[in-house]
Amino acid sequence: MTTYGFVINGTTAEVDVPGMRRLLDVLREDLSLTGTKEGCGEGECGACTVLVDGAPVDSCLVPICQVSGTEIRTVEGLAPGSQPASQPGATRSTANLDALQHAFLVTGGAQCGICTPGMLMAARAYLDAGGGPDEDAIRESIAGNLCRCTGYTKIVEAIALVANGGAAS
Amino acid sequence: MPRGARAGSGTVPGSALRTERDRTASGIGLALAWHGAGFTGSGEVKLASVASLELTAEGRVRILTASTEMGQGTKTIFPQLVSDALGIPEADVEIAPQDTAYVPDSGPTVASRTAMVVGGLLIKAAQRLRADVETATGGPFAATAAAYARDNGATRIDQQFEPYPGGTPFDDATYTGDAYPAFGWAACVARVDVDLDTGEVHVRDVVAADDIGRVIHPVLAEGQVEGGTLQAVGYATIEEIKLRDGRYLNDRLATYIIPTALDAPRISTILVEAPFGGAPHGAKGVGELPMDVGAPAVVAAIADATGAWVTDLPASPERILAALADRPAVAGPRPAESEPARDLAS
Repeated sequence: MTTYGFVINGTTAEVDVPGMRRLLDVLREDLSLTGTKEGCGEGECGACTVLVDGAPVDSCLVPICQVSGTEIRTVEGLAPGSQPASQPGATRSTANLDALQHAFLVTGGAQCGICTPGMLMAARAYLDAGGGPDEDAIRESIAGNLCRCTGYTKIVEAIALVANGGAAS
Repeated sequence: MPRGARAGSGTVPGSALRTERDRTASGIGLALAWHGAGFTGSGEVKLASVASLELTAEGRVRILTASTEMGQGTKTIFPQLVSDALGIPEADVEIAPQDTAYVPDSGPTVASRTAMVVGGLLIKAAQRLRADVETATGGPFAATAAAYARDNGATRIDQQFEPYPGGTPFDDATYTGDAYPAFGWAACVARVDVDLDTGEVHVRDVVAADDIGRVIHPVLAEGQVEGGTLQAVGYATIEEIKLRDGRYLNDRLATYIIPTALDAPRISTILVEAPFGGAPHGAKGVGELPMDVGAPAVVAAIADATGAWVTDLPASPERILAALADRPAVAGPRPAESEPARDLAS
């Protein structure tokens, strides 16, 4: 086993794991960051998308040894300080949400939610790279993220809303 | 007349639908459908579903149903319906875990029945609870429920399904009567481009108009229509389960292809509200209805573009080219007669 160090959502982290352990498993099992979901596990669906040095990657395809020294961002990094509701009926705070998360709430961009963390990270990478409200460009930016519930319409609307400066928190 | 000679509206010179590429044909297609809401025939009577509402000793209102939230919005619309019927804020209504250790059997979360059937039971339960409290206290539920609960302890209302008024009961012996208590109605228009060299279809735009009765939550309802519409477009164009000797050949997302954001057309939704009079809130089903119309609209658009009707889904390039050439489509894999089944264990 080897120690691998990286920055996760702004905080330094070190894990002592086999080098071929999937980044997805390190996030979910070693660091308890379960916001990132596993869909297909073979790089087709994009549910496990996280940002490595700002670039969207399928964390199911990335061995931990490849991300040593990088900066990783997951969906937890979009809403710092927020806690999942632990009780039925408990109200989640929306105070710290990223503008994209707000927009997904407003437009109805999430249904079952499995694609949502990856979809949000792919969209965040697109906007951070200067992406605009053009529909074709938005669709291209999330083409690696499958959604079976929404038909994509409301997801595209949400990203365009943020690109246009709307839905700010 | 050879099929290729029959020009669809999209291929007419000067048509606004005509695309730049000479070898691309465009067309539009329309499909109409209706879909029964709730279980077929005597299904709902036999299920006799129960939905319950509890005013807890602490004065909270709790919904007890077995309807599963899977993204369609059950946990959003149930508190909406109950808070509206009780005259209290949505935030004051909570939902018990959807586990029959805690909740009654309100039937399966299928058959486009949750909003209409189970939602209707909850409203009736809320009306009874409100009447009980207001009769006892003489004041409005919102102002008096907490004191009522403190004095009387927890109150639970169980509301069981009763046949909707005015219909003809379904007879299982003669198979006559109302097949469904209510029907949703849908119209779908699709615009496609067909590459005449490769047979590839690009579904560019879809307009879906769906009568789902009274709309409880417009954003969620549109989401149901858009999601169902895209599944139908996938079913029409690319999705195909292939079997060999009873085994799936494409049992993963690498081989069973579903539409990406780039494959998906722009979908415009028109919600039409013709309320169902039998349910207190007028809702009908929405889950399945949009899925019924997308594929025939796409196939009709392909026929409009090319003159060729595809009669077997999906309308893959192979099937479209075969239809254009007026020859049978390439047969899918069949159970091999001479070839032994692959032994996956070896």
